[in-house]
Amino acid sequence: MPKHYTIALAGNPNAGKSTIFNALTGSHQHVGNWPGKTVEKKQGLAHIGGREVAIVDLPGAYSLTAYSVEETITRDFIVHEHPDAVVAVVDATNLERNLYMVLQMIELGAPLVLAVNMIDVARSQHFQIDLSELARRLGGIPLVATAARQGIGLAELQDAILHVSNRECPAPCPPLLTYPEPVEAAIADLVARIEADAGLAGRYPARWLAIKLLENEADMIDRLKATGHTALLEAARRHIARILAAHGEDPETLIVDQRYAFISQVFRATVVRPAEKTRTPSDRIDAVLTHRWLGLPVFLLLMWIVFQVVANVSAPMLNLVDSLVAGPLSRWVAALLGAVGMGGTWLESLLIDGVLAGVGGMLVFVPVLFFLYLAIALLEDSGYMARAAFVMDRFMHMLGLHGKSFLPLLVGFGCNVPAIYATRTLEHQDDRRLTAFMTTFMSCGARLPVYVIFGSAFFGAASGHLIFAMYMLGITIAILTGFLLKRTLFKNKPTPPFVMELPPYRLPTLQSVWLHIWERTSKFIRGVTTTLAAASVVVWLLLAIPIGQPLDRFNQVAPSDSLFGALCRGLAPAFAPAGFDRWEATGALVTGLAAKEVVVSTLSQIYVGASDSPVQAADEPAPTLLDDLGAIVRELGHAALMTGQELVNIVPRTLNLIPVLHVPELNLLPEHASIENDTALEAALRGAFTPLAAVAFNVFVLLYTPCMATVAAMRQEFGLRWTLFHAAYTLGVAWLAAVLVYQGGLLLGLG
Amino acid sequence: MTLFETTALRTLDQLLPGQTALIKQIGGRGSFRRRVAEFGLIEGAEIQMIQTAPMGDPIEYQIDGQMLTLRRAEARVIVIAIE
Ligand SMILES: Nc1nc2c(ncn2[C@@H]2O[C@H](COP(=O)(O)OP(=O)(O)OP(=O)(O)O)[C@@H](O)[C@H]2O)c(=O)[nH]1
Repeated sequence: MPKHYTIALAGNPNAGKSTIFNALTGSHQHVGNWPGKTVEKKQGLAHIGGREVAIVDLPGAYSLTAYSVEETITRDFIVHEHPDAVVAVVDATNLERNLYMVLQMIELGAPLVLAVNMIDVARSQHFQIDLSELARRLGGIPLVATAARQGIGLAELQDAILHVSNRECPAPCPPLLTYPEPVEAAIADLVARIEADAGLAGRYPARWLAIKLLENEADMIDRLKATGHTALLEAARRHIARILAAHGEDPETLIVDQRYAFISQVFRATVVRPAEKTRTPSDRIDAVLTHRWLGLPVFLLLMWIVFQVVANVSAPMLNLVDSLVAGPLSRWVAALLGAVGMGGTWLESLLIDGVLAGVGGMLVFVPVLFFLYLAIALLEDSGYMARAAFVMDRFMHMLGLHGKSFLPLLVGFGCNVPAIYATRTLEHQDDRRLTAFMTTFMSCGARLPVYVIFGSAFFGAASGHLIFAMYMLGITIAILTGFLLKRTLFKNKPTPPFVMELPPYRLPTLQSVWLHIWERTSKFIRGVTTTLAAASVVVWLLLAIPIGQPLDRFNQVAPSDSLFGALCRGLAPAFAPAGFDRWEATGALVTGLAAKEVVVSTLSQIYVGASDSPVQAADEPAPTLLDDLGAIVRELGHAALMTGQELVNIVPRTLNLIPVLHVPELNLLPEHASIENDTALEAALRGAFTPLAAVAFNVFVLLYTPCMATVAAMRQEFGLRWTLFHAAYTLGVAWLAAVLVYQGGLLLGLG
Repeated sequence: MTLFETTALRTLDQLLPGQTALIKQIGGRGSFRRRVAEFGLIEGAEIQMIQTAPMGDPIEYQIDGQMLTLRRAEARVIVIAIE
């Protein structure tokens, strides 16, 4: 049985790692997260020379300096996991910068194979690259030229990978790169100290660690502090001070300069760049997309389209999923249970109203996320995402955010769940956390029905003011939250420099876009289903357990007589300062945790008693399986048609933003107006709330913990502690704001 | 060499679109210097200003054939000599 090899792919962002990864592994891949990090961990199996080889796609990084999450992961993997070979993927048209990280990997002693990718682009732009000289100057490392997108050079790459992996541990060669004398002397001293410490020497290559210490690298210093290596750190500090005093430069600068001097030498000896830098198509596209005057309108237009796609184009499929779960799926479960003699029992209710409702609550997000990831994949793979950040950074920076934070915040107006996942486009964990925190105050589509019903109940024609005020309040609170967190939690974190590459525009490939969508959506399903089903079961239980009633009425009590009702009655006084202390209002807020649109249906169930239970009315004959299947096919067709219609309608909707235009929208199948009990509910609400209390209630709905799906998304992305903090913070802010509104209103005599 | 003698020493944020300069010195925190160095911004490198973003900040530069962005405040700590 031959040894099982592990191969890692590393390199700068956009060098083509994922493309090589996909080509090597085909469809045998698995995407997870790096432990504790919101960075994708892609792993796959490949068959190379008749062996199974595990391939790990390390996140794109510019160096091994632990500057971003990606870089820490890449470095730790190479240092601690000892892959049998590391394929360094470099962009042939950008060798000078790409070689910096390669050099660091060589210094680290990684078993390297160099894949000089995009060789097709380099040739068409008339670069001349002397590959064998390049390999020789880099210490004779195996080197393969590839055009991964076209599948060129992959067979040779596989051979090289096998060759390096099969190799017995090579004799340690002299370091490729020596530093100026004072630095080398310091390195020698530190190496001796490191090698004297068995624990350290086993963990890190000694020379490499010595260089890191002289580079004064915070991450490494923290780690050694944690393991109590103060003497070594002290020695490094003295060396740094001495070199600085004697040469007027810190060793860090000397080291970086030396690396670049080496790289320029290698570069000049091996690459002839095209004499006249040709104006590439990419430059011409950029001339429009980041243009002084056009840049902003183009950006806003693209973001508007993304928003339309995520919020509206996904709607028909969302409705389809919703109705499938509530209709046929629930009926089939009921029928199945009926067949084994369990029909009508509490078990049926648990499965349908608890588990299935929870799973359905997860499934409805799948279409939304599908379209979000489609949009993100297109923006990222084409290269526009970096431009969007470039165009928007000035504004976002004023809010303490990064240019890339705009997209998640915008998506938040559609739905907070995809907004949280969209924070992944940001580079730094802190930016991600802060942005995710703020997105949940963006008033999502599910909160709108609450404002609408209260608005028309209390303010009639002026209800638009309430709605507008809610959106503005959400934005204001988000901004204030940003300032607050920046000054407290993230106080001592320096703003990372905005050095960002604007990669050349590329046409996204279907395969890569599809893989992005598939990987991320399936990860959502795996990560969130259990949480949502569990939450749904808990709510079901609360509603089922009778209080002050015989226990045999389990699952047969009115909400007010259930544990749920008792709990809400207990909680209700907490809302007295905000003007709504009735248990019904509290109950609506609690069920609103499942999903905010439920607030309205709960109020209407409690006040009007109109139940929209999915279970068939007894006198109607239940549809047969065949009926159901037919209906599903019909509905699927309908949803597909509507999706297409929504997609087409982006055009008139966009044109209609221009005040004088009135382009009609496509309307293939008029939606039948839903007959709802709104007027009855409105009357009941007017009886239960004063107008001021109604506003306070809406403020609370806007600001409190968005919904279980958001909580689950938060947990998946940022861990439990952060999620609990977020939940507590939003609850606190919501309560405070609602109380302020109500009490302030009373003071102003608006009661 | 003193300031304003043969070549004008300025900071990177003062470059005009299309203008090219040599990097003379990079200030700022160590982590900042190392970070920009990883993108090829080191002493002696040639850098060209391409354009500013629509709202005036950040700024796009070209160095070694790649397009990079820097915020104005960051460009201000980089001393250049205009050719
Ligand atoms: N012309 C050409 N395009 C390529 C080649 N390899 C990759 N690409 C394209 O370059 C783009 C970036 O490739 P990816 O594989 O996503 O790059 P990556 O290194 O994984 O990037 P990150 O995921 O950001 O780290 C994609 O649009 C690819 O289709 C190549 O050899 N030639």
